[in-house]
Amino acid sequence: MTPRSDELWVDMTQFDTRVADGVWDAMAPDPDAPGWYEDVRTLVHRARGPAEPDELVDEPVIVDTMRRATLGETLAQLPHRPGVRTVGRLMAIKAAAATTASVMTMAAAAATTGIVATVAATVVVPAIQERVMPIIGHGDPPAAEAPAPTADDADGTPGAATPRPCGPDEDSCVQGTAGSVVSDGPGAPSPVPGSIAETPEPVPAAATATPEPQAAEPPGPAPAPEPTTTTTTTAPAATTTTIQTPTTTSAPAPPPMDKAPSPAATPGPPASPGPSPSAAPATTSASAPPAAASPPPAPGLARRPDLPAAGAAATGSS
Amino acid sequence: MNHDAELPDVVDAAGRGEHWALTQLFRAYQPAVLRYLRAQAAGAADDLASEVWIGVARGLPRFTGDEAAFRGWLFTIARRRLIDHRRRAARQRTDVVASERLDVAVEWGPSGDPARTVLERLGAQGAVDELVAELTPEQAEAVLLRVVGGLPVSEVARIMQREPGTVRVLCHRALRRLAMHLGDEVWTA
Repeated sequence: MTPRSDELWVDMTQFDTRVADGVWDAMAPDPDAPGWYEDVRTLVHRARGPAEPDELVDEPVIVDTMRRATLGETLAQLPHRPGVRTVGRLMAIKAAAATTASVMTMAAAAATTGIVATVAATVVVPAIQERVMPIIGHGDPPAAEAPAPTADDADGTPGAATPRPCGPDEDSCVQGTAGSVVSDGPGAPSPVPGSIAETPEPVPAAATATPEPQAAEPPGPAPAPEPTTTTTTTAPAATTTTIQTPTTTSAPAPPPMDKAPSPAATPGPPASPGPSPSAAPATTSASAPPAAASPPPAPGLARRPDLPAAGAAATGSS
Repeated sequence: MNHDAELPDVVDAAGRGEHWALTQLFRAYQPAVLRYLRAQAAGAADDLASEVWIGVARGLPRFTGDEAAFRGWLFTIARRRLIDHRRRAARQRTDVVASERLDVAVEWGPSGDPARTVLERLGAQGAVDELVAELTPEQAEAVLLRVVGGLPVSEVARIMQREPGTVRVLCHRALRRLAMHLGDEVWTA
């Protein structure tokens, strides 16, 4: 152990900062210092000694690396911190989880509130009926189902209540508004001839064979009362059908290579809305135009096998 | 070299990537940095010193100050690299022993020289190691920054994030330990 005086000297360094700094600077020898302090001074001097050769061995490499680092060049040997990649990966996982959760929440909310069903019923289904069904050809209304058109229908006057229901491929029926019909059917009502001409079979001959006195007359409001009674069965679709008529009649006008039964046969006012014998020709003429009215496939519809069959069925029923 | 007179110009030139300035800085401060690091992480001291100098080179364009400020900044970087190394070493659970220490242990065998002669034969790193061999890690760090780094108490306290009074207490306790260690060795030899 050190003597008591040496302990006092050591304790002095705790309170006298000048002595303490002199101890660790080891600049000048302290006459009051104990003997072992010379060893401390020796160690301090050695520790602060000049550079030894092994300490500067890496000088060329390190100085060159420092120069490149100073100039901002990329250092390939710099260690990459793995924490950056971990943070990036964690953020990506969180973003994916948040996106998935939000999508699932929106889907569940839409399914719960019925928005999906509403949108499907109001947008998707009409759009399919309007755009897709005419293209694939499944929207042609069977002629047998179509009620006999009235004189208004043949005439093309849209205001009257017409009995014929609209087919699924008719734009006006889908739209259900007069405005859209006006835009879709720009032509004047020259309805029936074209439609008859679309039917490949000579069915319209039957229609011409049953001429009625009113049919020979130019279309007028005279038979209006009867169609009114006829349309009572198909009340909701009557308005749309009435709107559709001009469209259908205007479109088939271009191919008038018909057998010319047109004006005489079409306006035949049926006695009953059903498949009456007199209504059969009119049905043929009225049902055909919608098929021909779809603008692009007008010639194609004439070639379709279902359309002649429908017309034949209508005539057959008559 | 007179650091106070030359250092600002040297630092400016080094910040522009001048080779001579970088070399001068390296030769002036590398021994102290390496001894400081070898005393606390012997096996990784050289790699840590390289990282320290790369960090210095990156920060040189932004550095402003005198020689004391540069010395404090340099040892601040060295201490942070040392802390990072200790964290990595704690995860790896491997302790590297420097070959110099093994050589010294052989030299200090039972048939060795007297203690005072041994102290005088010690190299710089041997003296540093002997100086902090019996100290606690905090005491050793304070003494190393004070002696090897040549920093005043206030700068040591700033680097260690302690109060200056705490650093003085650490140094005082380190001196007491040295007194017990060296006194016994000298007087029993």
